[in-house]
Amino acid sequence: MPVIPVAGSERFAESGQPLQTSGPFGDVILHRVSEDITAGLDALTYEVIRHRLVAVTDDMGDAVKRMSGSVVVTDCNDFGTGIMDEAGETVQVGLYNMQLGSALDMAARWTLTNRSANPGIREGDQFLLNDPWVGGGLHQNDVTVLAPLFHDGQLFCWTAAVAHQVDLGGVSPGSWSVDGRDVFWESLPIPPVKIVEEGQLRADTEDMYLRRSRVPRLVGLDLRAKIGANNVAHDRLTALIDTYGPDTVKAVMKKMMNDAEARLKAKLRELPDGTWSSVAHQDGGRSGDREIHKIVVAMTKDGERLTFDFTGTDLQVEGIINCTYAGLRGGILPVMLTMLCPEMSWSPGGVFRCMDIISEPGTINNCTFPAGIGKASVNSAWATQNAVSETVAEMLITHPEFGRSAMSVCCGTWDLTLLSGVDQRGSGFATMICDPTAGGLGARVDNDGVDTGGAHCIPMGRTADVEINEFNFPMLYLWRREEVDSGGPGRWRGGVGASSCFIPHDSPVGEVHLVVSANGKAVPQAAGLSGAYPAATQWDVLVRDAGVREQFAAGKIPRSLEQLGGRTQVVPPHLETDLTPGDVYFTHWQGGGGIGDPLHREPERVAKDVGEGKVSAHAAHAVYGVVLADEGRADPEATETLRRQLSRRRVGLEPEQSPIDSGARR
Amino acid sequence: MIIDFNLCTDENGAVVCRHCETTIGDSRSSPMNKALRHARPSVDAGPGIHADPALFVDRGIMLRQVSCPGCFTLLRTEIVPAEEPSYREWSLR
Repeated sequence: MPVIPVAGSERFAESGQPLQTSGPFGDVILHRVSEDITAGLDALTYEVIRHRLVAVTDDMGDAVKRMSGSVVVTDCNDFGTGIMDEAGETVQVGLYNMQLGSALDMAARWTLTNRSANPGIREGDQFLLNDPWVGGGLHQNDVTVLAPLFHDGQLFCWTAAVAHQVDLGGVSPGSWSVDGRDVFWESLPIPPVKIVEEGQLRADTEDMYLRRSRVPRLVGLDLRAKIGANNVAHDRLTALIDTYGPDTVKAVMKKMMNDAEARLKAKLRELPDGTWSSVAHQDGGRSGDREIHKIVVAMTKDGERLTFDFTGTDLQVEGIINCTYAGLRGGILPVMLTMLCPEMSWSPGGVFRCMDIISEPGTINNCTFPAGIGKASVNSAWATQNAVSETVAEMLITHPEFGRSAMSVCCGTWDLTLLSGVDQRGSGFATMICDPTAGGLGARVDNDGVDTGGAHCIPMGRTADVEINEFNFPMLYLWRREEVDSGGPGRWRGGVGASSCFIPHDSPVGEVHLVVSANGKAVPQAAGLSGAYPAATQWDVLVRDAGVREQFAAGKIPRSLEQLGGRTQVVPPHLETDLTPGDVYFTHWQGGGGIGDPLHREPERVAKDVGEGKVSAHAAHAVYGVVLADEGRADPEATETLRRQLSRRRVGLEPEQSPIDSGARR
Repeated sequence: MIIDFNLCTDENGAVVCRHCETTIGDSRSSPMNKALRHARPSVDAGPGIHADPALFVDRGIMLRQVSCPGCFTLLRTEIVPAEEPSYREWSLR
């Protein structure tokens, strides 16, 4: 059935453009500061307040973690925090999930424009939303709590906390409905609603919100964590205002964005003008879909501006992998901050001023309502990040200094494993397993990618200890470990990814429900640069009727898929099923792409990789062209001969043929 | 000017291999027109391809590689649907 357009839904589609601050915004008066005050800030005051604002976003993160009860938040840091000025421009984002800081400005602007007259925006109010067309998070699980801060009756600024919620309803547990065709299969988006009114949590709004969840107590706790984080921020900001005055604090906010803009433009001016293009593929838009969906980007750098042109990207699909414009921005901002702005204030309000985005509404990374977006964050937003990452890195590599910040594509997607059912304490549970946060990072121009270093978009990302997962959920690990050959081969190797293998364990009902959603099984997603190979494909395996418990009884722990016994099923990109007590689930997520020709990697470095289990002897021979002697060291002469043969084979020549086109050689 | 790990431009604006100085492209706007191009099934990429793509999708998936015609250094490697053009291009002004 085709997706049915919904009349009137366009009013929820926030454009991403700056606010027309002339208003009117109901009875809300915006606190403004003159450019003279901003220009007249002394350097010392500026730095003191700037660092304090950065610390406020950290404090917000601490507050979220201390109050949340969700492993996704407490142990994996899948949340974001931010401070916006009175017009919604983002002054500072925290070091947590930067995707979640990419569209906070959109949410603030939409709220100011659409809620200031009715129901009104007043001191002590906070707004909840999970509508990615409006902004805030990238899919419905990303719930934002947005809080205006007033000073002397004027709207001074906004703060926001956004975190992944483990279940907000929809067809499937965890709200990742792999059979979904459009948004009505999923958790329905909530546009901004007043959740706190003049300091009081609204019971009616909270009930409306939590009623949809399979785990309302946990989600309710997270709600309080985000409200608390905003309260912490407001305490800190009010103290700053009391100390330095509102105009000075606001001037620092403006200058932070101005400085980010100026410094980024200066950096761009030092880079060559040109266009770099890339593509990102996703196999399968929902369960049963065997198509491949692409995102195309051409990034043009002209003087001090970047233009990201997504013309040619596929139309939105009947499935769950689309993302809205917020998701598209979420695919750009983390790359901009980490690669282009590592030494600057992470002030997205200034960074966004340096770029233009060309994208057609109705495409897979700028979809229109009611396209399915349940997996937007880790599908089309993440894929956008992959494509953008390639183009920005290639541009940077042209510069001897800036190139050191370049990185090949990191872990190509999030390998979703979601478990739900009845836990060992007899309570209902639903959670995603955040082990894939330990993805491999991309290679750099002077070093290998960091093995299981994380995800590009979450600098502070973590994985929960296996014991934490086993304590919280009815599961028992057989292993979690780095995986051989998962990093993209290259002169510099991509960081390796890893795998987890577990069984359902100790649920009073025996079985556990499993939702799997992970692309990159047909087409690798973490591309290499300068001739390097991409990281390995995603690989998930379900083993039915394995003999694990019998092996336990015999005092053995299986250490490989082959040792598990049972019936093996290679898992497609999207699957929903049950794990019975005799089943085993194995999930192998991606590493990072490499940089440079793998035949140029020092043979001894490859031999070391083999010794450490990063590269197999097979790949050492077939991809790196390294012949290992008996003691594990590289054989230089045999390696040279093999590399000569492989280099010819790669261009379609037989080893004995003469080099072609010798006339081209100078 | 350095372009990437393998390429740079010479004084005439041509793109040349940094390893063997072979001309790869006549100009910065047509930077790879003399490179060698070869495609193979994606499973030839090595053990990083865990499963036959036909398990998951109906389209053929290819390993495409672009190499220096002089020293055969890999300039680009991508694994993509067989019928797609290469979207991974660049040009400098």
